[in-house]
Amino acid sequence: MSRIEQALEKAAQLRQDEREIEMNEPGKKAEQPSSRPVFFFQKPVFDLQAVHRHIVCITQPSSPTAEEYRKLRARICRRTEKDFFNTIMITSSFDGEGKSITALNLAVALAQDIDHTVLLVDADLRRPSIHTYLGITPKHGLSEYLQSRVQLQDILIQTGIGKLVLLPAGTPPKNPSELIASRKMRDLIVDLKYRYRDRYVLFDSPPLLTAADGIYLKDSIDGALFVIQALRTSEKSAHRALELLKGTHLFGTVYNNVPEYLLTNGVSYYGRIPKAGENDMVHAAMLMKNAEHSFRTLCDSKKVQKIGSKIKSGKDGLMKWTKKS
Amino acid sequence: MEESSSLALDLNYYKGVLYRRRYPALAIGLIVLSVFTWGSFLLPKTYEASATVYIQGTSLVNPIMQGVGVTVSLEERLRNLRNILTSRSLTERVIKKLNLDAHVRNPTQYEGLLEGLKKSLTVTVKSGGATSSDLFFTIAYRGGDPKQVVDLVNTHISESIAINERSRTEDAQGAFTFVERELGEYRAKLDASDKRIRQFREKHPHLVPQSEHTIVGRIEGFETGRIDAEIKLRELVKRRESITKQLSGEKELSVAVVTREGTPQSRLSALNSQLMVLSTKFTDDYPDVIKVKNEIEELKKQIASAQLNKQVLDAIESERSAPNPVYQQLKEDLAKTDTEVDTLRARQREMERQQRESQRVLQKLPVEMEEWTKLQRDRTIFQKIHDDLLLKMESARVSRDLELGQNTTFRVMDPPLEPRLPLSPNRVKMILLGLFFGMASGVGVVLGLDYLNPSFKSEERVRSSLNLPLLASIHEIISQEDQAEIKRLDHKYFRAAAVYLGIIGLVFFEAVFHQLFGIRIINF
Repeated sequence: MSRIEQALEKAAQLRQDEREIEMNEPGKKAEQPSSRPVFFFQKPVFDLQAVHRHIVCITQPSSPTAEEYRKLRARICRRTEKDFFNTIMITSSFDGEGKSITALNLAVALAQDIDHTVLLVDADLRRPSIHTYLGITPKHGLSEYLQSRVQLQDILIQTGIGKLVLLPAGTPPKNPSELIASRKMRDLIVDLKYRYRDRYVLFDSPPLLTAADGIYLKDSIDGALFVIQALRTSEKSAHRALELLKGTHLFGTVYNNVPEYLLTNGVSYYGRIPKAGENDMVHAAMLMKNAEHSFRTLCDSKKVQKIGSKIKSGKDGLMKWTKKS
Repeated sequence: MEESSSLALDLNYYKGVLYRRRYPALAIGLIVLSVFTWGSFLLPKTYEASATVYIQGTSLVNPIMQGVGVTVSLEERLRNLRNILTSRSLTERVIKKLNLDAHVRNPTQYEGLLEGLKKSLTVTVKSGGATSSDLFFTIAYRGGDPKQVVDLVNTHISESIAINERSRTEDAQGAFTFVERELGEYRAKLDASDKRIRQFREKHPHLVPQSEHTIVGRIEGFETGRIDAEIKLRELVKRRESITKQLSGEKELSVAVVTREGTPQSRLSALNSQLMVLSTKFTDDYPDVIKVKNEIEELKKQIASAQLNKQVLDAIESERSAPNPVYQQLKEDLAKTDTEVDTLRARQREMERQQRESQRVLQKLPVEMEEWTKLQRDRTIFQKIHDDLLLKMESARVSRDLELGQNTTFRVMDPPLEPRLPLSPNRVKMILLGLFFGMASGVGVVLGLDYLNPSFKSEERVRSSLNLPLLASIHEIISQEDQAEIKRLDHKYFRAAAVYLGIIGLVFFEAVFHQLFGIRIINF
């Protein structure tokens, strides 16, 4: 086991200890909600190999597509920071136009930013997909929470990707629209919006033209991001969907899945596809980054400082003993 | 620069569309190619046999007699020949000779057979050879049986030669007979027309030849004559009255001493009366008055002297028994005047009658003139046609003799051979066409579908249509696994397509080999 991995394991253990302390002392936690992020670095809860290849911000973080998501992150941040618009719905006209992939990639990109915490809510109770893209199988989710079967803290998943927390959709219910339109959902959104001011809450909503869920959701969120798939979304359906979003603040559109020949900047994407083994390097780089962060945190902690001072005193004693001997 | 960059963009765009939709494009192209390739096996084979025949006219009389008889133009000869070669009767003779109607059971089937043969027949006629009168014709038959098409061509040629000979004679004789018959008819018509004109002239003798102006002149002449006669008659009536009056004043028997004007006493009384009349009108110095006075004076002297001379009186007394010459003279004048009056009256009546007659003629003149003109016109036409026909009959006689004396040679220059290869379907051509249309349809369908796709095809369109900021353009995500999958699929499909194209290529080369060398490698 390498030193880095040992350090990561130790940091994870420390983090677990801290959380246990926090859960045992809830009042203390409520008093200082924004003093530090609830969700912190730890070992990813999912298998990196199981992550869907279209989640490029994880699988190919140095690819131009991942860079496009980072640009999207920057533009979103610029448009939201002034007015404290932190609850964002990502939606589209129909299924399969890429809203979940956009939501997940944007969430990862936001989470990788040092300054932001991100909560990604899979609000598509009909055909939830976020967890499948990450290759995880949560037992419960939003639908169970809205039906008051579980507590919120039991369904939040710390992904380990930056400061990204996932609220999965759970088991598809029989009455998704009613659940989304419920007061509990509205309260949840308000709670999520105001609990942590540095946190973005992204909602992956059902498509607007096939379900009413998005229409209920739009009244509670700060703004929406509209996803259009190249060569698939027709102008007519886009206009119809945007009609339904009237009254909602629209940050803008994401032109998704654009083939090379439709690109106006002439940048060839194919030439930049990572070669064999690049994914491992990406993974290794991410592990390194996480390890570095964990190491710094570790170095900052009192215990480590004590250990360090002990090591230092031990070292000094050892030096003295060596000199003597 | 901008145009070239936009062109390059367009080309890249189309290239991208084709690459993206390469499977449907390939599938459509292969389907079309398959339709053409395998269709060439399913289509019925058609064979063609043809023969060229040279017709040489060898008449020596022909150039000499050129211009005398009726010369048929080259175009007309070609047309006639084509008509003979494509005639129904010739096709019927071919059917009968080859016994093609053995299985025909009803007229509809026979008509179908006839139509089928006529459709499969191609006739080309042209002139040329040593002289311009020489003709060529090519007969080609198409059909499913190579032997049968050769038989059809041979039979068609032999029958067409026989028909041509017979029809040439019949045509020449027929033309002469026709002209002769027509001439007879027009001769009869001309005679009838002559008869009608004669009858008309007999019926209207006064009409012909006369014109309206002549008749009007005549009417005017009659009128003038009548008026003259009237004036003259009045004069004569006056004169007659005067004579009658004078005659009543005279005795049939009188003395010798009488003046032409009457007895001196009567004369004197007359002169006195005249003087009285004149005196009322004129003065005494008026010459007539002086003259009358002088006459009275003279007469008075004569009377005085007569009274004095007794002998004279005796003589007068003795002469009373003799006829009075004045009386006689007046009598004669009266008779003469009466005669003239009668003559003038008769003349006047004649004039009136003539005038009435002329007026009647003038009134009827338009109708009669119309009839007359019609008769004349009919006759002129009949005469002209008759003369033409007469001329044509002589020409036809010469042409007939010329045609009958002419010797025409038919020589088969290119005899029909049994076709080795079918005319259609031309497999090589069909496969090449299939390749071309396959490529065209594959590309066309894909580009057409892309054109009809109503989705967003550019960032500009997204911006302009939705009027929203475009925050990101996410490229199509093709991961390593995707790429491997694409490669695998490409290999799979293109390999399958290549194998299939190889089979079609094999068929193509077999067809080319068969066309060039006539050898079948694989008998499909």
